[in-house]
Amino acid sequence: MSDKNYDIIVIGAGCGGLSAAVCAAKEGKKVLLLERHNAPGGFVSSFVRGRFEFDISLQQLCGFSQDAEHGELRQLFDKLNITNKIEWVKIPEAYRLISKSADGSEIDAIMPYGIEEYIDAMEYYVPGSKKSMKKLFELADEIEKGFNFIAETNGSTTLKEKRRFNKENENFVRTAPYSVNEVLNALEVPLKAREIFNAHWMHFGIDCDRMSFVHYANTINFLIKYGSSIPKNRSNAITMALLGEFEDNGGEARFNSHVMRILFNDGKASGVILKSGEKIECNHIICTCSPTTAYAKMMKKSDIPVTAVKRTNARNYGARGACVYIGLNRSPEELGIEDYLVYITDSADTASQYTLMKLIDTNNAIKAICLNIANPDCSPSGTTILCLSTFYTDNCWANIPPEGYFDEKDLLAARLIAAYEQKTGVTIHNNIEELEVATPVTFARYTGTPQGTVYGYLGDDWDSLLPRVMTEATDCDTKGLRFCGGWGAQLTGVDAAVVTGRNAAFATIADIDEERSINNE
Amino acid sequence: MSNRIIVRSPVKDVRNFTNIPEMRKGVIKEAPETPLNANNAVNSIANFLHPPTQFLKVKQVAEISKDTRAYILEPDTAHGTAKLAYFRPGQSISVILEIGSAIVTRAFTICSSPTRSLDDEYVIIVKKKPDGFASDFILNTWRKGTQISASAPFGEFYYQALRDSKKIIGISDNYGISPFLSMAEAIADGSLNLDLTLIFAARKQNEAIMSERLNELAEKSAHFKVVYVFSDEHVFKCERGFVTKSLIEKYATSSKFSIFVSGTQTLYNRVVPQIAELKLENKYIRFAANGKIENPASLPDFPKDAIDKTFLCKVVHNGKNIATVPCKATETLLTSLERDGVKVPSHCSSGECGFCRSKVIKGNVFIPDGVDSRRLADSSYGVIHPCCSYPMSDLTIVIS
Repeated sequence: MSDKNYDIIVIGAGCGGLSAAVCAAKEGKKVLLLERHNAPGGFVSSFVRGRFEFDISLQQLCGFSQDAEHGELRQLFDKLNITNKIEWVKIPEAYRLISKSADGSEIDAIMPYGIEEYIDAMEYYVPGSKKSMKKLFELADEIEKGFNFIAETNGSTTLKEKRRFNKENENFVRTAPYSVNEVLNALEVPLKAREIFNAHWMHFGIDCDRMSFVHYANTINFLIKYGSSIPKNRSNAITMALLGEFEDNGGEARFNSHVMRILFNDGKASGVILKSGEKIECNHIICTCSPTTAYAKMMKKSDIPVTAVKRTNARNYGARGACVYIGLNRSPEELGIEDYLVYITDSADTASQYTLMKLIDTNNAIKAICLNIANPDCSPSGTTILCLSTFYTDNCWANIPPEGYFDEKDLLAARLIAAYEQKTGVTIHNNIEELEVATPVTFARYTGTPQGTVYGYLGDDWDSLLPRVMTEATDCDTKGLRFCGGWGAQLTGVDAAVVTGRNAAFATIADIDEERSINNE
Repeated sequence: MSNRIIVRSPVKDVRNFTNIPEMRKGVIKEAPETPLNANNAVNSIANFLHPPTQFLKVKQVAEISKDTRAYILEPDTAHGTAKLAYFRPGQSISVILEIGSAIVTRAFTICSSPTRSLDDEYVIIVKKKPDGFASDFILNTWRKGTQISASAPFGEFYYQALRDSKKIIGISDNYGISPFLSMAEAIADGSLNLDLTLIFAARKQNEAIMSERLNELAEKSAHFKVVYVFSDEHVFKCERGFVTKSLIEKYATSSKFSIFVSGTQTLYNRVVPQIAELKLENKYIRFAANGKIENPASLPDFPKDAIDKTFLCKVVHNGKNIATVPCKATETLLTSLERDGVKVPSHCSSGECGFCRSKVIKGNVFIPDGVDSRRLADSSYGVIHPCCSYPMSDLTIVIS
């Protein structure tokens, strides 16, 4: 047993866990942060091969800028005192989409930041799209206001407030129940413009026939309006800054500390047991691993409420990730790489593409990021960092025999490199100096995530952002145990993780205060 | 406010919004109560390939030479390891050794083929090193039945078809032969598809370990060749002298080839200038991680005034000061801590894998050029890899 009394134990030092830990520590709580890996970050981390340092998963912080205070992430980073501890670089353009339209024509569109510029570019690629695109972005602004209202009231509103909300955010209300494509249809956005607008769907892991319109439109609006940034020294700069702030505020972090059990006493969380056998008592736990893992592996059956079992059974896993990290021995100019982010898909119809991504053999979808375009000094002069990532919409990596795994990994890399070369016309295969491949198995290994899932639970229509946020209170059915991070209420992304981390910290602090006031009575 | 947007109908749209919470609760209500299961194939594969610990047993010991033995290792099923983790030829395992009051971790490259691991066997070769604390211990104490705690296979010294040339010139000495043996075994059993020509440098013919097996494999496969270079004697059909640029060129049958080097620092110091003269692109040259630097004080950038000094290193773990250890400036922090019995996580001892990742909260260390594979942000937050860091003052470090 430990000789210290902790107010809160946080399991997992990914962005969600770090955020929860810092927020609670800054409020004066005694916090122990436990991480099974030997470094912080979870998915938001990096690794070194030869002369290259690769970011594992960070693509961009949407809407984040050092120059302007937009959005919850920036506000939270300011509050946590880390914005200025990190050197940031801006992403120069939004994205390029190379794909095939459902009407049979080829798509190759480079989309800029700035709403006007974006709408103009769309008009260039899809003549006649301007009017509907304008309407779409106006609607997106209303949606932003709606989300701000929800964030400010934290979902718990009185009936009067609800009425006011419904009245003031009429178009938010009217479009919130529907999928991206259903609303884009209603707005009469032309097919091809819809396809170009939907290119970011890969970042969410669910096709636009099912993805929540308000969630997607809000994110894209934010991204196009404000641009995006990344840390110059890779995402590890974010996690190290968060960890430093946590420790400066009296927090204790332990690495190589794998939590095996979450203990309950009388229906309330009472502590954890580590792999080393050490037992640490604590009545408040914030967990960043999947609820599925926590319930099935870390808790006694009798400690799991029936509602939690049913909710978990109702949910599906989101996308399982894979990425080929390539260090090239030529500069982007020499190779002819001009874009930071290119989405390459066989079909711009997201539902068809989603189906193709169920199997290893039919999945040629790529999200290609060339870090040097945004961050020219990220690798030695005359070299390039290129990451080709994809994801799987089914559990197809489960069928690989372990002894065939390395071959399958190499095949995946070969397939994505060939598809990238064919679709972009850029030749890279003669210049590969370092190459590393992460598959769903790799992600399962490092983070313990079920099936190598990288996007938490699937944001299906009934389980998308808004339904989750509107029922958040009833989702917390284990006393003293809250969840945050990529498996939390706001789906995935650094912003979602840190926001849910903060929410979990404040909700837990409220739990502690409530307990104290009861005990004092 | 802009115009009202109608998606399905004015009434339905609002009703559907109001119903969102109930809709979600409804789906959950309909879900089954089947017990949850987080075990699945992908996580099982991950665990099979990368178990946190492999519990092994010595199955057999084979005498290779008077100071070299091969150990055949098998899973120690009684301790919970049912199958050996599969690996890539060239990868290593680290073993944890308790030697008196010291706890040391040493990496050994598996010299057998991955195919053999499917039949529950890894082979590692242990050769006595001058002042070899760990090699002496293993040679003196490991026998049939000895239980070993080992890591999963790790390391980056393997053939990667998309990166390397399919024709590889391997350069090795007696201490670096294991990865090439594993590759040659795998080429011979058909599980590895490449052409390997190994240039094996030794002083004399009778000192080149495992040469019989290498010759057998070369006979068995057209894709593996071995060339011996003896510095101290003439041997029929073998080269005399050292590994030079012209020797490499002589055996590189095509203009496109990759060079893989594995061995001691002495070999590396000798071949680096020779390889440089070949003017190959960086991507075609790969060195195996070969443990700690043999004589760090001789490095040009090593702070000369610290050479004879010993400092005190306070070690913090889980928020507690667990030891204060005297550390010589010319020894890695890891070596000093291990000798003192401090259990530090580590694998490669070469600065590459980052498993020993620790944080300096007071004091300075010297990290030689070229071994520092720390991440950018880690470096700026005082993170070090103790396996390649030398104390330059009294220190306080936090280990995980």
